[in-house]
Amino acid sequence: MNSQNGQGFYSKYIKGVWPYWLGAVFLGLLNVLFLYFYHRFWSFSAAFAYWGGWLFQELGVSIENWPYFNHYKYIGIFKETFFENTETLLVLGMIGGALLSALAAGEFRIRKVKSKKHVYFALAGGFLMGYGARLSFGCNIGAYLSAIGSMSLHGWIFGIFTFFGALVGSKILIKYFL
Amino acid sequence: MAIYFLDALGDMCPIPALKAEKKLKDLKEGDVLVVESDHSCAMTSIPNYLKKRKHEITIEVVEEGIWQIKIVK
Repeated sequence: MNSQNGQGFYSKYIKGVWPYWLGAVFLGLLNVLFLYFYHRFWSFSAAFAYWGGWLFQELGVSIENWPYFNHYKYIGIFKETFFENTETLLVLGMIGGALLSALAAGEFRIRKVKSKKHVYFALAGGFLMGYGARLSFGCNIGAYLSAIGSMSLHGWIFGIFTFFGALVGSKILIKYFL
Repeated sequence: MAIYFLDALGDMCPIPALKAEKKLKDLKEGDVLVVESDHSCAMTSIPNYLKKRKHEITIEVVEEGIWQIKIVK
């Protein structure tokens, strides 16, 4: 490969934005590998609940009887170490991968907090997403994508209500944030 | 021909595109809107979002990770 080809490759694939279909193919392949190696469906947002659970355990709070951790026997997770937990690894891998891709494209920068409005909206959005994902036992990956991929009805129900939620959310965004 | 500036730093998609669309309403034919963004996704989403209106759009890298999108109404 001569240097001009190298430049072309860099600007096209490292710096440039990948088309949606290419990302979809990669995610699909990785999903298959995930199923093959871990013998379970792809999900990751539960990691945050486990981290909270681990933190409470470390602080001496008994979480064994909490309905969230008990209902689907999630309590078994707490026998794993932090780095044995697949959700935790996925979250760390995702942040690490995003960092690498931003660095490689030369687009990484520490962003300033622009206004208080940004902070309030980000915190409110994060709380609603996190709380909602726990109520539905999964986020748009665990409870939607993986569910539809496994031919489960609950994924479709999740999808329909996400659509209505996004509709209301974007109305709120346009009215109060722009 | 007037030049307008829109600060969209720190805004995530779809906010930069929505802000640009809202701001474009105040512009007259031939005016220029410069949107500054640090969200790489806006480089695709803004041209996509405004595709139907056939504005002339050029993108310039100002600094690493900061772009200016010039939209001619």
